[in-house]
Amino acid sequence: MLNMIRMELYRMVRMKSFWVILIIVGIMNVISVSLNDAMMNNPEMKKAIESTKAKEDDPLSNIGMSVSIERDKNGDYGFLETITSAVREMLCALFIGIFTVIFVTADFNTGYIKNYGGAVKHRWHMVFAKGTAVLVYTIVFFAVFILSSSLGVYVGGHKLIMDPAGKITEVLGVQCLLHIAFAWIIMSLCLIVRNNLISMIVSCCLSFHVFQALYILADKGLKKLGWEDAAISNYTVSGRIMKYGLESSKILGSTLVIAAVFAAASFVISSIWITKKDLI
Amino acid sequence: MSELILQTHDLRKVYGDQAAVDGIDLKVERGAIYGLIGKNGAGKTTTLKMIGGLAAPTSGSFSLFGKSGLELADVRGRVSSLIEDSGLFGNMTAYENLKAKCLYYGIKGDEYINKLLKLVGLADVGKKKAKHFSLGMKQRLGIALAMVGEPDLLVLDEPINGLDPEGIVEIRDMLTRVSKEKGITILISSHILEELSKVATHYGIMNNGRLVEQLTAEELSEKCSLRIEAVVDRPEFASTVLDGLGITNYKVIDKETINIMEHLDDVAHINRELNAAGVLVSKIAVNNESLESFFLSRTAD
Repeated sequence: MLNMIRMELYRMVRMKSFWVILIIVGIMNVISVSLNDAMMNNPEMKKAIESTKAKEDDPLSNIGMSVSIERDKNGDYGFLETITSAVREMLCALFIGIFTVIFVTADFNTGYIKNYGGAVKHRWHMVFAKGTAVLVYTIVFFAVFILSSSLGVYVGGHKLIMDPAGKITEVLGVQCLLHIAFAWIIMSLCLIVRNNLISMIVSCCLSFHVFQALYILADKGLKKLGWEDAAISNYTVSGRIMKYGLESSKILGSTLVIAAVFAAASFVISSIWITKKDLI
Repeated sequence: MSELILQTHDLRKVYGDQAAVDGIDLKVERGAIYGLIGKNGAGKTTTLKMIGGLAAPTSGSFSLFGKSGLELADVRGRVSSLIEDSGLFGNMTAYENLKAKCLYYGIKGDEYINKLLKLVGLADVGKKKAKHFSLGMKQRLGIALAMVGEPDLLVLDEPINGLDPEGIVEIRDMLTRVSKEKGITILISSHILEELSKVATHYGIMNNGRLVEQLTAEELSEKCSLRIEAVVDRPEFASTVLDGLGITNYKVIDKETINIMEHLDDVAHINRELNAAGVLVSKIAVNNESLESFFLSRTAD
């Protein structure tokens, strides 16, 4: 299995999309963070943000992505606030999902799977190897995102205030784990559906909160049936990504459980599926 | 019969309500180059996919190196395949495509990869990406990929497709060489019967998902070679007449047919002697069966 992981990591770093996504996200992040002031001071943008906040219960208002970083009273940028503003809007999940689809389906689409797939002793090894590569990518992506966000603050001429190390570890660690779980869900979908288009659409819909809109509609239905506290989103990985921030220590345990359950379920389901189905 | 590397038992593969492979019993000996022949849609590729581990049989079973069922997982690593077109990462070079598979097998070092590239005639491709390769180059790389890990059984589906005549000769010689020198057993399918006849030691003819006939190269040669075909009323008595003429290389095919593989220029004399001995000869002529007509006769619907 270790050899298979090495093979997957080798082909991952040789993919154009691996470097293109990291470079583009890094550059765009530096630019957008540095221009955050200009955006926040724009009257139309202020109006749009306030309008969105007012319609939190309206499913349609949740669709899309809007990232704005709140500064502290001194006009400085908090490190965690800067990072989590975008993370909680599923910006990182979007790009991680895109890469996961491209990477996981590449050896099926090219037919390279024919060269080694038949020789694999246990097909769940393939799932684990791909999952490991995707996990590594998620960590690398996060590292690039954090560095580029921090750089963007300095490029914009502002000061970056570091949060306590324990808090940084907790919040970013949990978000990273949530994103790994997200990537594994997308990986599982790719292996089951084996259709780039469907996998990419689902990944993007999850990132642009389309499913959140559906969850809100479902919650309304459940409330009518008597479940007053219905909140499906709370029990999903994407819901927790959107929720987990600086003040979320109380839900640390449940968040980790949700991430673990979804990651494990994705792994098991896709392993069973790929074992039963023909590879080509 | 030497050790059987591969044996299938009533192997079937059904897609929907269509049986692509309909109960085949294949036997491949160690060290053989087994040629699987059949028309388009005969079930060759589906059979090779199942043996190569890329598709599961609907029913039936097969054994590899004496292992079957759950034990097959232990020997899968000894089988390597090239099924249909070669699967390559277009943005990687030939070296990188091979390197990826070498990593899977835990093979280190550039020397091994360079040796394989030289073996298939791709030593000079340098940093050219696989997506810019010609069909023949892609096929050569596919063969090289199949050779990674020194498999004991090589499963090749139409490996010489797209190759120029020089390439066909090179690959044919390479396959013969690795089979002899390294004892690799090769299961190869092809439409190009003439080329297959130059390398294969055994043949399996498939039609409509079924294995119509299995025969060795010698048996095929015998069936396709020039001979005198005589249709007589008493083949047993005719045999004694032939013995008396000093003709020993003949075979009684059925109740009325004798094939005589020597004295091909003496048809008239043989006919006269048989008549003189009281054998009624209804037909006697020199015939041969080309590989194509032999194949077509076996795969006629």
